[in-house]
Amino acid sequence: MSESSTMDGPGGPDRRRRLARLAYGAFVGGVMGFTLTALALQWLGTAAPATLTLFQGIALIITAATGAIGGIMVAMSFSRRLYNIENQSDESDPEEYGDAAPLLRFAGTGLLATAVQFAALALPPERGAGDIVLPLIMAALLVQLWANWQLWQRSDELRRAVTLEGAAIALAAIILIISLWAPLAIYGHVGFDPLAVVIVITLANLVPSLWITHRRGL
Amino acid sequence: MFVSDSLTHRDQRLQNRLKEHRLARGWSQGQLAEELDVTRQTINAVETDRYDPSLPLALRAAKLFGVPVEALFLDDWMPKERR
Repeated sequence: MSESSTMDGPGGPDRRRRLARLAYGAFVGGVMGFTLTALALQWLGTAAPATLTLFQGIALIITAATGAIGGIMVAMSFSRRLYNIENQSDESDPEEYGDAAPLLRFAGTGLLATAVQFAALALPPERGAGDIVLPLIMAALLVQLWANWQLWQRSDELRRAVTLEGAAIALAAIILIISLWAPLAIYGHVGFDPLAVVIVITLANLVPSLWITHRRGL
Repeated sequence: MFVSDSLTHRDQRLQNRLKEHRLARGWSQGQLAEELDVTRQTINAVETDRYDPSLPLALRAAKLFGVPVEALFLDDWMPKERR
């Protein structure tokens, strides 16, 4: 190992600090996001948590997680103070915030659009929500596409490498899962819920991307 | 020591002396990032062996410090006939 890697390499204090921050943020964000989403849905009268299917429940958890993380990222992009709390590195440059803020904003916007997409997907269509839900989902997908394109355009080679690595793992995982799922569903061993397909594709994309982003120290 | 006892694994990342050269110039990671037109996170990831830079970036870094690429990025691999 080089000397430079001993300071914050695997198991180092910087890594532990990052993991602790990640775990704390995920827990607080997840609980807050889930509670707010459940309350919002109840307030809208579209669904009571007790009537949700398993996949609708998972969709709401994804809504909560992406909403919370996306919200934090967008908030950080508008607040240097918040950004500095999250990035207490000895090497951090005062100028860095100016470069990082747009990236945080677009990444956060993409995650917020994902939250909207999954909140809309979780609404039970039999209650007449289809008229609102479909345009909402289409708009959310367009926002995701736009945000991801903006992010790609502004990324340097490390961020692009992380994106491509995550996409490669996601593609392999999706091919494997769908290829196993399809024959099992065709022969009647498991169901085939379209919402579950979207959830699998999203998780197969999000989980490796977040893991690789963390591994590369971003 | 900069060179590990085993760099023969296929997934082993390159070791490098980027940090030593940067510190010798008295630059921060941000300053080096600006010189090389990348983000500070990229410099940090390279210095901590989390990311192997692209060939163009490695060449730019070597030119910037006025050293050959192999003086900046270390690899003990040798062609078979020379082993």
